[in-house]
Amino acid sequence: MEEREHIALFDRYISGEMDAAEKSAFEERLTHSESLKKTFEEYTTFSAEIAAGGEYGAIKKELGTIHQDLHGRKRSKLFSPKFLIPVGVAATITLVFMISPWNRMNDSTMAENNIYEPLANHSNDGYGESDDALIMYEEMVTEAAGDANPDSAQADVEDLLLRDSLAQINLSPHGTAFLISEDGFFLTSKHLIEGQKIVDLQQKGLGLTFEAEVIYSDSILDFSILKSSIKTAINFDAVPYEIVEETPELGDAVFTLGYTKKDIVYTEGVVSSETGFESDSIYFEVSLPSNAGHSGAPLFNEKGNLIGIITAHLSDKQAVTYILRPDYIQNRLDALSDSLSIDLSTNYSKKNASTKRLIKLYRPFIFEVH
Amino acid sequence: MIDFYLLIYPRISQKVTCFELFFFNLGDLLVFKGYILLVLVTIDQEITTRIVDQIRVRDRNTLTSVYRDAYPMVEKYILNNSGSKTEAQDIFQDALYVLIKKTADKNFELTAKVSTYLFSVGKNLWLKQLVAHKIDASGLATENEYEEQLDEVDITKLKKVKHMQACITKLGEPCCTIITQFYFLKTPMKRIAEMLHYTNANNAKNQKYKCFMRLKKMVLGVNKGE
Repeated sequence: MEEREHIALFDRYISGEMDAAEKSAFEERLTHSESLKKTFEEYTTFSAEIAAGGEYGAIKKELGTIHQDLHGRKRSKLFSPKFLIPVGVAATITLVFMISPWNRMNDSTMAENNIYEPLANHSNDGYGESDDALIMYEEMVTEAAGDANPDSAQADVEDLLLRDSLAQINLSPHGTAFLISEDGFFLTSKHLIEGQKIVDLQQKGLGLTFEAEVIYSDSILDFSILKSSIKTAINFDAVPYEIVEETPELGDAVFTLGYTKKDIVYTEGVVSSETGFESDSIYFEVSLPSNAGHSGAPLFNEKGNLIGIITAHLSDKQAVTYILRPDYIQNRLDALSDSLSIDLSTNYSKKNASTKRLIKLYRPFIFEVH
Repeated sequence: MIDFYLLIYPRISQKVTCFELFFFNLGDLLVFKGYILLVLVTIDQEITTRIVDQIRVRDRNTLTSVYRDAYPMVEKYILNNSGSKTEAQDIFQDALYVLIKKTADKNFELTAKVSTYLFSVGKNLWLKQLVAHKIDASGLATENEYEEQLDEVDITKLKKVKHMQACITKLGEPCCTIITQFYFLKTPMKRIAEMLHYTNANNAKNQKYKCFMRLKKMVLGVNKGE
């Protein structure tokens, strides 16, 4: 038998993919064939050596980051991160104020203009979608639940729980949030969670609803960082997209996944201007039809890299959507890295995958904000 | 406002895990709940066993504090003995790797302080490297109450994993990812195929086989050459 087939066989045996009959047949062969046994042992030894090499690499890498933390840049002991961060943030804010006087306007003056419109969804009906079907479904299910367990107290509790969860499903999401770190950090728009300390995130595809804490808000850039520490959120895979700092160029094709209704919605567009509302340089403009609920949705380019967060649109124009620039997000995350320790490592991703494949891959990482 | 706090091991509260005494040096200033604290007393006896336990699970805070305590000594020694900063870093990390691997054995006991152990191992490794590069190391000072003798088995083991790791890195992508994911992280082939966007697990398996053969050739080839 060829070596390739041997290895395939060994792999199946080691990983436990064989069923009982196949397994015992293989073990039988091992005891009878001296040469097969020898090859098998060689293979397991070499595998163990590879694993040891991989472990060494992983440990070295970890120690390398520790070294970088300790000796990478010289920092006075007095200026521990806790002192440093507020100063750093204040400095950036002043800088932003100077560049862009428009940002002095608060939300109410924005509303008076009635042009610039943050894309939070405060109504309860998505974009005019009827809730009747869902309410009917709720009634049907609650009835069925009642029928199944007629008089027990248990049934009452279950009934209540069911009503609760159905009521949750019934609400249209206010907007969108997405995962940026497998430790449970999410990004979203700040205006979505105005004044809230805890928000509910939901991902119907994964059947998850959980609370996330607002741990950082930035009113200038209009973005917030959420952190969820519950188990289900922590068990996420590494994020498959990464933030690229390059300036988006006119004509770049982009797409987004957001919750403008109770299900995820795919929308595509192109970069149409390098500046945002009234030539604001924190944002750029894309020609992309956006609706209430798009706030906080990630914008991806053709390669699948994250190039911004959808923030607002012009209410009296069509398909003029403003996107928070990726370099601003990245800078702010860098500035916060001392105090928040967000692990931004991403999964290896093959470039130029088809958009369809990207959508499938990214979907589980994008959440409804309630 | 200045206050005196006695930080008592193991910890003040669940939340501030890094507030363990061995983490600090005398004279450190630190901020805790709005107070500025000055470390006046540190006690680091009897904590070695706890540190070893923490290193075994590769606790990041512990590794960082150990690194901070022990590295300067090793760096100074190597710089004084015809080495560079990069070499010092490499040697120290190898010493720490040896310690991490040793702690995996539950019966492993450290008779000296962690920093003393690391310094001793680092020195050993550095002397070995000097000898390997045919630099006369006989004149180097070896006066030290504590000497950790590394046996040949440890040295060859370390050499082997270093060589293996170098070969894996040399494979390049996607082999590097496939090989580490499969053999080190034990990720199922199906999952690897998804990660790398292979259309099915069989394609990934074929690729893995090719990578494996290349790696084998590389590892054995260089060994023969030596």
